Formats: sequence, structure tokens, C-alpha cells
Amino acid sequence: MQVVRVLCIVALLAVAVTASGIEVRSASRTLSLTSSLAKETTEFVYHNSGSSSISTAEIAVLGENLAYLVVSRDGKELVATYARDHMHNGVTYVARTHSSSPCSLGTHTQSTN
Amino acid sequence: MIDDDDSASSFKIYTVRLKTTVSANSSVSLKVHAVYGRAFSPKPDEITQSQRQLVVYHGSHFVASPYKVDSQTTKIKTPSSNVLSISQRKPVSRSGDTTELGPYKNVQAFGFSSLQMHFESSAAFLVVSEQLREVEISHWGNVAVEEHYTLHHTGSALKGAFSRLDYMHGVRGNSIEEFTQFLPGDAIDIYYRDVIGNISTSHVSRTDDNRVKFELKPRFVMFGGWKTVYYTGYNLPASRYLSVDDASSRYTLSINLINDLGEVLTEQLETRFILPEGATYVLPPPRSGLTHSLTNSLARSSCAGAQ
Repeated sequence: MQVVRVLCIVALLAVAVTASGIEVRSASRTLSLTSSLAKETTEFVYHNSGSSSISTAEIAVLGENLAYLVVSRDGKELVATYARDHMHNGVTYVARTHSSSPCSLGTHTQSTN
Repeated sequence: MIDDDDSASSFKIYTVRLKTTVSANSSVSLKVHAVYGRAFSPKPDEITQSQRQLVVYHGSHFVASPYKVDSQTTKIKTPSSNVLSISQRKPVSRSGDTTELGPYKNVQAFGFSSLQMHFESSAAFLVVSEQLREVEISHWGNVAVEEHYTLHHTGSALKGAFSRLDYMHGVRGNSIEEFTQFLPGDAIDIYYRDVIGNISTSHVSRTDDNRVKFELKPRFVMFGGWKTVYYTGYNLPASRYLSVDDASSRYTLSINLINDLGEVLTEQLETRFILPEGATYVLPPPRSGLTHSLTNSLARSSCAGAQ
């Protein structure tokens, strides 16, 4: 009975892992170093290799010096929310309050009342 | 299989809502546009007035990804073809001012390989280390904005003395003579001052997209390692930025959090909203990641202090 229970749990875990499976088939990056800011535009092809639909995906940016970030799909901007930090050695730390440097690129409208 | 080869890296991960779901065994294309400040360091740290500026870019051969990447390429554009060195992870090819990396196959999630490029750059390495904005809503129909800047030139520091004579003969090194701000199209009464007083070397014009282009020349040309502290100000018509809900008599201010300074990084921004005397029930700005607080301040015509 115990063996069956363990096998069921393993099977469920396997399904869960497969269900969230995303692979990046290709990534094409253009990096402009012509000004004082490094501008990076990357086109990713994400493939959902899981067994169910996905409504979210993750992206990563390198380092602490992100000043501006826009993610788009078919030319339309998507909502990207900071989730966590990830250290290179695989240890994930609980995120501290994130505040990226405000950058003058683009305009940011602020309302108060 | 390519493994990571450098341990001095960290990533920030963002969750992206895809708007419409992506079904199993299908693909979606995402475009990620990221801008990084402080990605360069001058090398050498100091140059004379007659030398050209060289910088090192610090990054990764690989794109940042929380997932395994089957195949990837990178095209790097530099300001000139004068690239002194680049850390190699083959294949790397160069042609003029363009360098291509890859294709790299089967890079693991969070793959990192230190990339350093040493090249010539005459870009203006300006950074606003501190910006204080004061937005004062007046009873008199205007919104007065004043912006205080501490602006640094973070390029190679000037070695030796500055020679005005050489400068007049075109020996200008990495100096910056002027910079630009873009203000709202209805900005009026524009001024540019520092602790000494008014600075007259500025120019205002209108852009095609109906913004005000405000070109500022500091009192002295800026070389690497130098900084300038100044403030600018202007008035906006309150009718365009302040709306009122008749039912509740509550006012809403809608204004840019920060103005466009071109390609200048602002590292720290503080904005003070000075509301008319007697204003109550103040709601914080509806934007995540901002801290806010309320204080009283005595304005020119205040009796008891405005909140």
C-alpha cells in the first residue's frame, strides 16, 4: 500500500513538472553599446512542452543595473512583475523590496489625489 | 552541452502575463527590451585632455534566461570599429563596428559566461545621481515644477590640468559641453539656475511631437570625474494636469513622474507634491515600488502650512 502511495505521488509530481515545462527554442539578441546605456533587445521563441496551457512565463535579466524593461508579444506590451532574485550558483533568495533605478527613457505618468 | 563558467553573476526574474494562453506543444514569441545603466567602466580610469576615451563593457556571452536555450545568437554594435579586445567564447566574428557571438547551443538555464569588450567610445557618460522634483499645485491656476539635479560625468577622469587654449583649438577629450531635457509641450516660464544665479546659456525649442526641447550648457564644460549641480523650473497650466470629480469634490493630479533626459540614467529620484493649504484626504500615488510620506511645509502664502 505504501509503495502504491509513493508511486502515485511520484507520478503526480512528474505530471506537475511536465505541465509547467517551457523550453526556449531560440533567442536572438541585439546589443547596442553606442551610448552610455547598454540596450538589449532579445527575441525569444518559448515552447510550451508541458501537457496543459500556460498563461504566464518567466524572463530573467542580468545583474543589479536594470534601468528599463519592456516585454512585448506581437508588438503589444505585456505586464511583467518582479518575482525574485536568482544567484548564479542556484541558490534562490527571498526577494527584498525591489526598486530598479528610475530611468529617464520613456515617460512615466504619476497620479495622486 | 555548454556549462556556466563564471560564478559572479545574479539574475532578477520577472513573471510575464501572456494575455492569451499558450496551449500545450505550441510556441510563442516574446520580445524583451532591457536597458542597463552602469554597464561600462572607463579603462584607463584617467585620460588627458588629448586622449580618446576607452571603456569596458561587462556582460554575458549568453542571453539571460530562466529556461534552457536550444540555440542563441548575439549581435553587438559598438560606437566604432576600434575594439581593442573581447573575451572569447567561440564562435565570435567581427566586421567593422559589429560583433557577432554564437550560435551557442544548449545553454542551461541561467547560463552565464563573462563577456568583456574593450572599445573606444565618445558617448556622454552622464548620470544623475540625485534628482529632487518639487511639484507645487497653486491656487492661481498653475502647477509649478522645480527640478534639482546633481549630474556626474562618469567617463574617464581628466588627468592633469584643463587647458582652455587647447580646448579652443579642438582638443576636447571626453568633455561634454551641453545636454538636453524634454519638457511637456505646455511648459512656460522656463528657467535654469545654480547656486550662483541664473545661467543664461540655454536654448528652448519645440519638437515635432509637441514637447519642449530644453538645451542646457553648464557654466563649464564637463570632463570625466566632474559634476555639476543645478536646478530648472517651469510652470504648467493646472487645467491640463488637475481634474476634479464634481460629486466628491476630489482633485486628481496626473503628471509625469520623471521627464525625459535623453540617454541619462537617473539613479535616485525624490518627488515632493506640495498641495494647496487645507488639502485633506491625500491618497498615495498608485504605483508600486514607491515609498511615500506626508509632511507639512510652509509656502509663501501659507498661514498654517500646507499638506
